[in-house]
Amino acid sequence: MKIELYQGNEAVAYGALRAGVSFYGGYPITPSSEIAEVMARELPKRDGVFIQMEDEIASLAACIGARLAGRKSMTATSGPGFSLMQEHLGYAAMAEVPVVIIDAMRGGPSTGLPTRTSQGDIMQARWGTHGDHPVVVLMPSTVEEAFYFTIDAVNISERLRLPAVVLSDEILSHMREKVVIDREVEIWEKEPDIKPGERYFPFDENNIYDSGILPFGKGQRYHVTGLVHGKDGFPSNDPEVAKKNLERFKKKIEDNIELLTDVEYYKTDDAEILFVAGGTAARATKEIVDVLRDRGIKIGLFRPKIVWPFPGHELKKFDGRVSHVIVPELNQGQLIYEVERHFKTSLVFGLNRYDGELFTFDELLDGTLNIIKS
Amino acid sequence: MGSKKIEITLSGAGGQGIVVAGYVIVYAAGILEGKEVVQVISYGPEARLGSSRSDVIVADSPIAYPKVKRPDIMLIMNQESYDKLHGNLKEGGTLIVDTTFVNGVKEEFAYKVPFTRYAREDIGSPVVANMMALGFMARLTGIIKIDSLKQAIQDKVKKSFVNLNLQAVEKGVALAEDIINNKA
Repeated sequence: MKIELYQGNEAVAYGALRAGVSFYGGYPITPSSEIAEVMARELPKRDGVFIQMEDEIASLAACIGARLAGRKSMTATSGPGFSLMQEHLGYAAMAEVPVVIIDAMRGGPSTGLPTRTSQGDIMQARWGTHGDHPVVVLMPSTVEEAFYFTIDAVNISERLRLPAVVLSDEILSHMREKVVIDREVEIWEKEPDIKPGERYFPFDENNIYDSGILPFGKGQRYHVTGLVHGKDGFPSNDPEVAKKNLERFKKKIEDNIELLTDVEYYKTDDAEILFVAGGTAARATKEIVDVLRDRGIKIGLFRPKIVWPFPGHELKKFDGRVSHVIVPELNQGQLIYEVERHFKTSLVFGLNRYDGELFTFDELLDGTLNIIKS
Repeated sequence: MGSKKIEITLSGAGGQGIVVAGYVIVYAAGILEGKEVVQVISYGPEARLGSSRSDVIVADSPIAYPKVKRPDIMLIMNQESYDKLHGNLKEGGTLIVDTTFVNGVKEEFAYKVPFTRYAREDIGSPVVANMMALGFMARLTGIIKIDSLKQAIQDKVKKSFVNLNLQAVEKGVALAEDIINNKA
């Protein structure tokens, strides 16, 4: 067993390298900068490429281009940079180019609180770019998860040919913990096998997911655009083609819902009260579960590790089984909107802190007790 | 649950090596001694002279809530940190204060040592005050073994600064021993 003492950001960077990422295009921003630092140091040693771009718009554009040239690509940023990346996040979704974006959440909006934590980008990660689009968002709670979830994000984005986001936050990004780095992992890699004389259609029915993507420079020409396009990638105004485009995206998610459902059930079997939380908030909540269990309160935690697509099909099984659902978040209430729509009878309450700090243990405990008594 | 958990808060100004000190504790306890550890840092946007804080937890079993609730051990290295944080100390906890920068310490039980002054005068560099304080803390509380602390410095500090840091640790240990012997 090989153990390293990593900071959350280092874990992300080394996880990406383990997953085969060989291109990083980015623009440094607190609290994500250490990811760029590690990649700048490590990639050149491994025949990889690191480029500091002029801004975050260009950073993600560079990653998309690098991926089309055959390199697994990643960038990392925080709120203000993530806002700028939304344009190309949509482009990656439309052009079906795998790319991984790490967003180390900090207080917002705008430049907000650079060195303080937040979970204010949960909705932005899902709906920050315009149009119906597919995106997969993972939310680690520990430094070890930051390592392995980044590997998962690379694999998922490669398999489904879509952008995947890892939502960290300032606390996790700068937290140090032990990481077992030699657990067995599968690295997904595939390139379409095009026979001589055959023409490659990157957007036909055989190339929706699990097909890989043929990089440029391998003897096939195809067109890449943000416009609605047919199987050869050339733009189209045909409503039928437009509909097909969007249905492909939906299919990526729906056909792979098993792959995309990753939930931790912590003491939920006999729970009468249920926490629903992700990331750092979930981690704090876990200890509240233990303390209240010791006091005889049947309480548990439902923690989506992949937060988008939201595992509503799993969560709704608790409707009616629990009396109270409590959603602790480091924002004014975002995940709660998604949680509420899966409960018809159980009561849903939010617990929120949005001043850049993590809940204190006591306020989380007292807040929970107040809700239970209500 | 019977599991042991020690919470430590280190706090001072940016540039005093608060984050590094926390890192050395988690490396020594976590990697060298095999315990569960977590370090959470908080700092302002400034590179120097803002406030800097390092929360460290050392435990026998996995740690969920990552921040320190009420520290068992507190190392305070500037006035602002003292004024803001000294009330957080757990009852019966250990309070260590660098009196080079802190005045008016109310707690009689506090260990008041001018680490930075000693570092400047005896070692020739004020920047190793953090390691002197760690040597002091380690000897006094046993939170990490002195050997682990020295090993951590050898493993993680830039070669040319290792000796300076080791000297600081020795000085810190000696200061703690004086206190222990005087009490005995």
